[in-house]
Amino acid sequence: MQTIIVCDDDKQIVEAISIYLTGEGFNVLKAYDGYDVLEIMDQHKVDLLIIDVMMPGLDGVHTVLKIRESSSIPIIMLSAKGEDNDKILGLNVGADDYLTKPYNPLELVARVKSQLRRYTQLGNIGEADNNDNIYACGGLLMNDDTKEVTVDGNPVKLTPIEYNILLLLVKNAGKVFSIDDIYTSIWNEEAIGADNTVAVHIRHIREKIEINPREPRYLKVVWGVGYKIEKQDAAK
Amino acid sequence: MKKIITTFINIISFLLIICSVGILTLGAADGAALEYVRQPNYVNSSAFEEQTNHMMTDIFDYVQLTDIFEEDGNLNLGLIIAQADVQGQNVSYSLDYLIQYARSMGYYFDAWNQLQHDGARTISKAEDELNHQIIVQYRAYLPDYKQTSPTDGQMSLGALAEEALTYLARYYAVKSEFDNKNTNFYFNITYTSKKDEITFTNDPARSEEDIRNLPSFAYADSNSLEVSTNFMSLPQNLIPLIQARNPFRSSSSQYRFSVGIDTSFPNEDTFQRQSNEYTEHHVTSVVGLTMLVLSSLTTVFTLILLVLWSGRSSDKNDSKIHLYKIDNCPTEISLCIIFLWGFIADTLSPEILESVERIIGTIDNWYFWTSSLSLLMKYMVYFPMTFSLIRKYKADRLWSSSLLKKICDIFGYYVKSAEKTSSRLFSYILFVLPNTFAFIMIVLLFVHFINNQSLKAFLAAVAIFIIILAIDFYTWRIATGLSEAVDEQVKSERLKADLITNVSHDLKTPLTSIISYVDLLKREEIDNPRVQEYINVLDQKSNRLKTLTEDLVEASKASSGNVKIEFAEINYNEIVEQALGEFEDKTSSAKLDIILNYPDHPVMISADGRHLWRVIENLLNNCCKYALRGSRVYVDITDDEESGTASCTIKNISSSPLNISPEELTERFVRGDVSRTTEGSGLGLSIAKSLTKLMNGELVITIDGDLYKVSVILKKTVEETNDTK
Repeated sequence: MQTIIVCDDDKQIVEAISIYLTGEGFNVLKAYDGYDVLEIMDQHKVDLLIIDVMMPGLDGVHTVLKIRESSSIPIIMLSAKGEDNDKILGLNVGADDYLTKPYNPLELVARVKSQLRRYTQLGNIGEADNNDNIYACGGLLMNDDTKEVTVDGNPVKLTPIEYNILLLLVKNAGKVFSIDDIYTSIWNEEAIGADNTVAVHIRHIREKIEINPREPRYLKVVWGVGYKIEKQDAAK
Repeated sequence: MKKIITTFINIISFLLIICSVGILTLGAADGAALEYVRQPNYVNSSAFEEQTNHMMTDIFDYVQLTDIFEEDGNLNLGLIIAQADVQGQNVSYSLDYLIQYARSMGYYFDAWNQLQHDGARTISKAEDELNHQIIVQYRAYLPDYKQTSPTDGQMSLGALAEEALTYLARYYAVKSEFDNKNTNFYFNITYTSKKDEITFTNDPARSEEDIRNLPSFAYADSNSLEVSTNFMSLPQNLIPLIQARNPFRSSSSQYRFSVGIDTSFPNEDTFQRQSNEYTEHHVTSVVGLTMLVLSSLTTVFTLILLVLWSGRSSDKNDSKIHLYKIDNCPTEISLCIIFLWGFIADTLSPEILESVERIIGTIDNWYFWTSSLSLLMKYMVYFPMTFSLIRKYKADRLWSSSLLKKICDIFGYYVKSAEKTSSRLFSYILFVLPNTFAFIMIVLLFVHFINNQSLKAFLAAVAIFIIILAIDFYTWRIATGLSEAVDEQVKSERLKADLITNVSHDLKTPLTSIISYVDLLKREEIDNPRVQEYINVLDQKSNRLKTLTEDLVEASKASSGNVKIEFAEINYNEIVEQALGEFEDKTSSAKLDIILNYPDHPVMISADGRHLWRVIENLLNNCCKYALRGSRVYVDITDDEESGTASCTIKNISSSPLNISPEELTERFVRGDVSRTTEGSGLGLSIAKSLTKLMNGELVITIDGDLYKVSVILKKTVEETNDTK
C-alpha cells in the first residue's frame, strides 16, 4: 500500500482529500503545516506528498525546498494562487505538479495516480528504448507495431485518424503543426476551405490522453498557430 | 572634542605656514634660503667668494693707481697727468689744474668717492666744447696709449678732466678700501728685476709668510703657472693682471703674489659685516624652513584626519553621517561661493593693504603681504565650504542636494506627467523651451566669463540660473497637481483590482471544501430522490461559484491592465478554426449551425494567443448560451487592407429579446437576459472587451432587433513581415 501525506492548514480540505485517496486504496497521513510534514517524513516511508502553498509556520515552498535536499518523491502543490508566476515558482522549487484551488477532487486523484505510476514504473520505459517503433514523451507511450497508446501506464483507445495525428505530433515532438499541415499529412490531400475537422479531432485526443483537457500536459494548443506535443524526456 | 582640537591645530599650523614664509621672505632668503641652510659658514658661501674675487681684482687697480697718482705715499697734485697739442702748441696739464678746471665745470666727489656732475659751474659744457678743443698726446693713466692718426685723441678739455677725475675717483675708492687698517684682507705683491725690487702691500707689517699662513690664502709666483690657494675660486684673469701691472715691463722680471684673509674677522670691515649678516640669515632660514616644513606637514596631516572624521560623530558605534545646517545649501551654490570668493579675496586683499599703507606708511614686500592676506581670506571660507562638500559626499548627498538634480527631477516629472496627461506639447512649452533658452544663455555667459574674466557675465549667469529655477519650481507645482490627480485615479483602480484578487483568494479555499464535500455527498448512496435533487443543485451552484470567482479575478485584472501581454504573429483563420474545434461539442448540443467564412490567404495579426483565445471562447460561450436553438451562427473573418486591421465577426439570433443597449451588455454583471439563471457570470463580454483593448484592438457589439453581432477588430502585423513569410 502506498503512503501519501496530505498537508493543508484547512482541516476540512485535508479530510476531504484523505476520503478520496483512502477510497482509492492509499494510506493517508495528515499534516497541517510544513513542520508536520518534515516530522512525518522522518518517521515513515512516504510515496507522495500533496501540499498547500500558503500555510502558517513553514509554508509549502520552503517545505518543498527542504524535502528536495534529501528526497525525490513526487510532490503535488495545491494553491489558491493561480498566477503564472506562482506556478512557475512552485515547479521551480521542486514540485512535480501544480493544482489551483478550487480544483476538481477527481482530477487531483487522477494526478496523484499519474505521478505515482511514473515514479514507480520507470523500468518499463527503459525497455521501450530498444524498439525503434516505440515513441515516448513523458508519460505518453506509443507503440507503432501494436498501435497501442498508454498514458502513465493506462491504455488509451484512439480512432485511426486520432492515432495518426498523435503519432505525427509525437514523432516531431516540439514542432508546431498548423491545421493545414496536419490535414495535408494525414488525409494526403490539400486542405480546402473552412473546416474544423482537425481541431475537433485534436480536442478528442486531448480529452482521451489528458487528465484536464483545459490544461493539457502533452498535446498543447498554440493559439493562432497550431498544435504541438511538448518535448519531454521519456525517463527521468 | 578631538575634532575641535584638530581643527584648532590645523588653523594654527596654517597660520604658521604664512608666518614661516614671512620670516623667509622678510628676514633673509632673497631667494637663497636653501643655500643659507645648506652652507652655514660664510667662508664657504658664494657671497664670500664674490667679495674675495672682487677685492683681488681691486688690488691691481690699487697697485696701478697708487703708482700713478702717488709720490712718497702722498697724492701728487703737481703730477703732469696729460700732454696735449693745443692749436699747435704743446701744453702739459697738471692734476691740480685739471681738478680746478673740472670743479669750474660742476664736477665734485661725493661721500662714496663717486664723480658727480651737478654742482655750481662757471664754464658750461657748450663753452668747453667750443673753446677748449685739444688733441691729447699723453695721459699718465694710459701709459700704453699711442696716437696713430692726427684726429686721434681729439677731445675737449672738460672731457679730459672728467676722464682723469674718473681715474682719480677710482684711486680714492681703492685707496680707502686697502689703506684702511681695519681690514681682514691682506696682500703682498713683489716684483723683482735684476737690480730692483718693488713691493705693494696694504700692511707692510706682515711678511709674505704671514699672509700665506692666514686661514684663507692664495699664492702665485712667476716660477710656476699654478696658483696655490684654498679659495673656492680666483679671478680668471689673475695671472695676466699680475703680469700687466709689472712696473718693470721686462720679461726677465719676476713676481710673487700673496693674498690672505683672516677668517676669524677680528677687524671691522666688509667681510666682518657680511659674515655677521650671513650668520643671521642662516639662522632665520633654518628656523623659517623648519617651521615651514613642520607646519605644512601638520596642516596636511590634520586636514587628512579632518577629512576622514568629517561628518562622523566621535561615538564609534555611530556610523551615521551627521550633516550641519550649512550642508543643506545646494552643491552648486557651495561651488559658486568657493569660486566667487577666490575672486573677491584676490581683489580685496590689495585694497585692504593699500588702506593699511595709508595709515602706517609704506609696506615692503608688497607681494608677500597681498598673497598671504588673500590666502588667509580664502582659507577662512574654503575650509568650512570644502568640509561641507566632503560631508555631503560621504552622506551621498552631493548629487541629491544639487540644483541640477532638482531640474532633472522636474524634467522627469514633466515627461511622466506628459505621458499621463497626454499633452506633451503643453509640458514642452512650459518646461523645455525656457530651460533650453536659459541653458544656452548660461553657457554663453560662462564662456564669456572665462574668456574675459568678466564678473558681470558670471553674475548674470547666476541670476538667470536662479530665475529659471524659480520658474521651473512653479510650473512643476502645476504639473504635479495635474499628475497627482491622474495618479490618484490609477491608484484607486489598482486598489480595487488588488482587493478583488485578495477576496477571491479567500473565497477559493472554502469553495474547495464545498466542491469536494458536495462531490463526496453525490457518491453516497442516498435513496431519497429529493435529497439527490438538492445535492444536484448544490453541485451546480458550487461550480457556478467557482467560475464566478475565476471570472471576477480575470475581469478585474483585465480592466485594470494588470495582465502581461506577449504579442506574437498569429493567423486569425487558424485561431478561429481551433476555437470552433474546441466548441464543436457545445455548438452541436445547442443545435447551432456554424458557418465559417475566411479569406484564402492567412490573415496575420499581432496579438497574444492565449488572451485572444479567451476572448473568442467567451464570445462563443455566449453564442451557445443565448443563441436561438437550431439557428445558424455566422463567423466571418475579414481582412481590411486599408486600415491595416482584421476582424472576426460572430452573428447570431438571440433566443430572447434584446431590450438592452450594447454598452450595457459589456458592463460587469449585466447580461443580455436578466431573467435567465443559467451558468455564467455575466462577466464574459466585459473580460473580452478589456482583453481586446489591451491587445490594441476593439470589440464592437451591434444589436439589430434579435440579430446580435460582435466583432473583434485587431491590428494586422506589418506588411513586410507578411511578405517574408
